[in-house]
Amino acid sequence: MANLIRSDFYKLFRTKAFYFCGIIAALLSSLGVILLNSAINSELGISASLLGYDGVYALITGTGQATLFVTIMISMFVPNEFSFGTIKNIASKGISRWNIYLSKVIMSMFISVAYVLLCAIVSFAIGSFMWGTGDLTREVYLNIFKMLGLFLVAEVAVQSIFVMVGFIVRQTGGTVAVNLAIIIAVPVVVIPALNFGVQSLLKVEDFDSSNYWPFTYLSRYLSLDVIQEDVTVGLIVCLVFIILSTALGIFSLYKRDVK
Amino acid sequence: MIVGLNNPTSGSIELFGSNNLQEGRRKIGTVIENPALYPYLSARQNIEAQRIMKGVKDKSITDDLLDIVGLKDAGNKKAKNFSLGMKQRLAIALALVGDPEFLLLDEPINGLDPTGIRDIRELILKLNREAGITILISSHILGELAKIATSYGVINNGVLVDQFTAEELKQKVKPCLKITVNDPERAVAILKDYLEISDIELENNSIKIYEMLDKSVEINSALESNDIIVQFFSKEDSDYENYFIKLMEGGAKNG
Repeated sequence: MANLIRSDFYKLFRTKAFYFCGIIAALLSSLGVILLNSAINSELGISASLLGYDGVYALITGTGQATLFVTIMISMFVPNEFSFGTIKNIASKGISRWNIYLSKVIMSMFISVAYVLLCAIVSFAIGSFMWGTGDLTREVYLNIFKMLGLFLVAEVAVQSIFVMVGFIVRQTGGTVAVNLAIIIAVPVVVIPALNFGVQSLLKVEDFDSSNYWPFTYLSRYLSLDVIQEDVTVGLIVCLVFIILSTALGIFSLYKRDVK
Repeated sequence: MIVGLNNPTSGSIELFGSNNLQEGRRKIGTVIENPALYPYLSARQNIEAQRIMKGVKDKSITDDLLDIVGLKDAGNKKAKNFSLGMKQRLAIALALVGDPEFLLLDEPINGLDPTGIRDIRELILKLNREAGITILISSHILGELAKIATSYGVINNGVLVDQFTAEELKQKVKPCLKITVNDPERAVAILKDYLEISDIELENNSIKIYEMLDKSVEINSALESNDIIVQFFSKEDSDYENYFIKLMEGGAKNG
């Protein structure tokens, strides 16, 4: 298992897309902060720092840019083993499919952490450069770590779904398409349909299915004052999704022949 | 199924005399269908990734393997820029990581040009002779197999139809004179007595003579002078394809 993970890291660090996606994610998170600063300057004619904007605010807004690029990277890295046929080189060497799958889950976690931290650091640096760091008390530091920790849990939960899709679809193009469809279709179609169904048929008026969808917590956790209910429910939802999607992915890998 | 890519529906597998398949599979190198490589990695990096995955500590094997498969000068070239023959050789190098005792090559010469076929053939023979690796080749290109194989197993629709050695195969497909006559048993006796032919057999009322292939006139006149009516007389060359097709048809009928 350790050798397989080391081999996956070796391949990842030699994948140009890993660096390319990272650079684009960092640029976009910086650009968001720069554009916000320009908009405030031109609209109000004052520095954004006077309105309370600081490096911590930039960090919060910039971190969210990571998700799309983590998704793209994982949508390529996982099914590439099937597209290139190299999964046969791994599966035929006496390595269990359980280990093959878990290695990719660990890679997805690493990519998530790398991109999230990169976006957070770059946007904080740019924001601090333009607006100052803000009041970095011990409490603020703790809240930033808490926010990044929660966000990473949500990110890993979301990416565990994409890893599962990669192992089921087994084609790079197909995986990207399905994952993008999940990102777009679930909040627009599935969640409203579920809400309507449960609210009208089961008469549960305050039901909101988005509370049980890990993507929701990507945005809810990007705050320094997340409410405790969201922390508890969100962590349970994310954990359930991580376990369920991993179990389904491993089941699919065991049940189907490797080609 | 041997290397765990397909799930068996029933039965059991033993590798190297043991039911511990995980352990057995570590001793097997494989190239299955198309060469499976990371196109964005160089030849050297492809081997390195495999070396790390197999937990081989000795880093020098990467260059050794490139040398063995004749890709030493192309070690830094990306696999996506390789010809099919080079990809196939690199795939064999990957299969050799970890010193396998057994190499399983599935269609290793498919799609290769004559030079590529010769290179792979020579590489396979070298690995067998110099490294002592047992190699199982699955192929439909029978003429090529005949140049390297020492033992054959013929599988049709998942059923092992026949097994034989290269010597036995040569015997089965060696050129012969095929004669159909009105009284085959007596004809065989005559040919043995008059012309002293010993390498002769009777098969489905046809006589097959594996010697005196250039003496068809003498054979014909010996039969006719003994009132044997020759209905069909032809010379048949070594035909592996024909032999295997017949074997398959037999297997299909039996199956």
